[in-house]
Amino acid sequence: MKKLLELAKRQSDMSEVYVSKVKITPLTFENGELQNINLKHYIEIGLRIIRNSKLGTSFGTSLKEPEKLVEQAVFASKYGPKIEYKFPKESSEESYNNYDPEIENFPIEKLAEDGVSAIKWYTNKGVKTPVNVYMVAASEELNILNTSGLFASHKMTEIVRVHELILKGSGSGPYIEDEWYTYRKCDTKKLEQLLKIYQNAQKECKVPTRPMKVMFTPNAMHVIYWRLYKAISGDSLLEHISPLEGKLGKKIFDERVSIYENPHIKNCPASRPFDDEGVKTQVLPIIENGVFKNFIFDLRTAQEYGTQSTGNGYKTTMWGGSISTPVTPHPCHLVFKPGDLSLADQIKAMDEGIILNSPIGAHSGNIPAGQFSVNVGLGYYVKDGVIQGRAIDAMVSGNIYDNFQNLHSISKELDFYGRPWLLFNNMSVAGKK
Amino acid sequence: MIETLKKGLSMCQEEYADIRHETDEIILINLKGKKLNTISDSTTSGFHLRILSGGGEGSNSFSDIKDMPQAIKESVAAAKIGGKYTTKPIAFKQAPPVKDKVTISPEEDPRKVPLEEKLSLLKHYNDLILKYNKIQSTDLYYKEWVKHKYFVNSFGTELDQEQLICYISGEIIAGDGTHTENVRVEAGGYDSFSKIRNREDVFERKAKLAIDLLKAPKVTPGTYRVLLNQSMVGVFIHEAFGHFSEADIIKDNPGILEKLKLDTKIGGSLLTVIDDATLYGHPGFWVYDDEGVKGRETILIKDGWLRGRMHSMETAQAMEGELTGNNIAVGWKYTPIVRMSNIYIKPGEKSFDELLSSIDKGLYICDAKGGQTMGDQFSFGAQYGYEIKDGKLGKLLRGINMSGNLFTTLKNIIAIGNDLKFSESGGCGKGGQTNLQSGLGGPHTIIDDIVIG
Repeated sequence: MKKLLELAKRQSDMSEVYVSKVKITPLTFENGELQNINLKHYIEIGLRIIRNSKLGTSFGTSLKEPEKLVEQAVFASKYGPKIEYKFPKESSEESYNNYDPEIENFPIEKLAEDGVSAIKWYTNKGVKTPVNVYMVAASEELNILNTSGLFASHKMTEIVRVHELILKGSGSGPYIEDEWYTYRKCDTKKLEQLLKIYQNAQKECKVPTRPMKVMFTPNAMHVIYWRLYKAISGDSLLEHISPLEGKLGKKIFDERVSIYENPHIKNCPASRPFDDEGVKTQVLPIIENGVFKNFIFDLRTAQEYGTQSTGNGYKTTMWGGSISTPVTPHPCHLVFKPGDLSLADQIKAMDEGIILNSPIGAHSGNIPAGQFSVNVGLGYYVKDGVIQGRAIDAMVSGNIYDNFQNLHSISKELDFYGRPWLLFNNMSVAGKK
Repeated sequence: MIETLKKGLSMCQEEYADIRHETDEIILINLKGKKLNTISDSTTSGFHLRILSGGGEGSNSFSDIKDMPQAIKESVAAAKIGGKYTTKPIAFKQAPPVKDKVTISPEEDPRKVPLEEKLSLLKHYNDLILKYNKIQSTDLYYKEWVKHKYFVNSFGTELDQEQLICYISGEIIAGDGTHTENVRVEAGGYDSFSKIRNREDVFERKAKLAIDLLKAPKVTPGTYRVLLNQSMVGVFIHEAFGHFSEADIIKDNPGILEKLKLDTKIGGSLLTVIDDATLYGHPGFWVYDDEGVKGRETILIKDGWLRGRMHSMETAQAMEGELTGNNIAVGWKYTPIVRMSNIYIKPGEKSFDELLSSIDKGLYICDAKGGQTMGDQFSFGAQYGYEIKDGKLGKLLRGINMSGNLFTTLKNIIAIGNDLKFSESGGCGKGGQTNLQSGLGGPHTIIDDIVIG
């Protein structure tokens, strides 16, 4: 890394080397059968150089040919965008206890056993349709070095566990996921939860076309988050496409809504001391008591807007990211402040409505404007506070800026990721009844 | 490189082994509004190794050649563990061994076009869009992806393949101060740079559309008879049906397999659906897939009857199917999975005017904006649409998303036009792999009883 930076330094005003070392062991059981195990072990390198005030970027997979990386970045910089920001000097070395060295060489058989015992549990409870299980042990070491003198290093590990019970005659079904920095036994309560969701979906219900209450479960939260990510991004602000432009300090949502960017949660695999530009991350209120508090910025958008980076420069998009994804402002981890009603009471309060469990099509619709229109996918029809069965052939649509003005309640409970169950009044529903 | 891979292969004494080395050279330019956001030039490369042993399959993606012996050892161990936890041992249907070199000869090779020219062409299109008052912003990409793949396997196959895809794609955002609308734009999608030159009409048309949508009313949710344009039909057949013809999706799903037995009538007699990797000039063109099987035309539905599926060597063996050459990985980091190449609905006989005039009340839905399937449910968005009244197009509508169930919807196709057209660029996400080499198309088509939200 140092050699690469040294070479780049000779050809540039400023440079930055980004190196990610990844090791992944994934296991997939489909209908109880273990599939191909695709181990991954690789290194990826990103080089950004600023030469004659212009930015050039290159990527590679080997540190053995640093000359080529520098040559490509210099070439790109000839036509690159003009840059006025500086790479940071300092970062954070804070640990959020999300690294366990044992996960780096976690035995495949232990993952397989975990999957097998879960499959047995469901089968013993009478589940006859296919059970799919995904288990992943992963580790990543990220190092960022730049000519301002920064050397930032962060290691994380994670064990991911997903169980899915396939609905009869369908290709998918309800699922639960668990993510932790180290291995922990599967919580039977979670298995029971999934079993209950699965049982509730056995009966199919047609849904009428009219406005009704709609509950977003934590699994459905991405429909809302993707729209919010776009709106709070410094990029959208600069392009004047954010509906939140000019709304700082103003009430935009129901006053019970508080959402924070929190990259510092202990044991959470996603937690980060610094972003993909080496800038220190921070806990940041995005919406507090319904009032819009902060946009998020990376180095580029912060400089253009005349402010500081909030430590939100990530190589990621709505679809995930890779080494070659340009850095843009993106939250690390949003969390909600819990509400005042239990999930059970929220369901009781639904005179008529839909519970959205795994909606389909969250990426369609006018995302910058906050609009969505999703197939219910897996969801339930509720009448007089009682789940009637799986809602089929139905769509739910709305606009987050209108819907959050018409919020019924936020659950007391949050899932591991800090997501609540949100119940909205009068949302547009289209069905076939 | 072939010799290096063969040396690696000689270290494996297992039932089956293959090794692929891939170099990806990618040029990316991104303009956001008036600003140039990124220019990058990159070369990444790595290996992917697959081993069958003891009834299981282990594979390994690694970037450093010195890790090869360790990768082989780990893959063999993984395969053996895999075999222990399955009641259905994995085996591959043997493809005829082939030794071949596939090179490309584009009409205009983008590698010979200077970067400066690529940038100025992208800027030119961007300026055309931004000249309109109500255009708020753009997010335009030029992407050029050259792949060089070497592949050897223990059946004796040795391949050296080159592939290239270049295109412009992105988003146009219009705004009037209170409201924004976005539409997508694309040009190119295969190996020749000439396909993205002289395309001013595409960018101008989409810019005007985005502005017109600002004033357009939102569609009223409900159930409609819909006329889909070619882009929508392509996405519909890809999302709603195509994925269920990928054998790896259904292999271990007895419930779906029961519904999708070959020689089952699943659609009206006017419906024929084909997947074809041999269609040069479309994104899903390839000669050999990533396990060395030759790409071909596969008839999936013929006159409403389910007749075929897309296979890998594994699924062809497990399901007693034919080898179709559909097993593709999007790069060395990934193991190949069954993918569509160019999927399309075969054209029928009706003209657009005949289709339109047959609808008393309905919607004309145009240009796809992303789709997703979950099991037998699908959902996808349209960039715009029109009301249809008494066989005539009415006002422009926005905010259209359609959804439904695969099985009922296929049966609800009531008329197919004669105007087959393929989308220029494609793209499909499956199993964490976003495949740009995915083409789709179809003629104008009428479907009944579609839920619009």
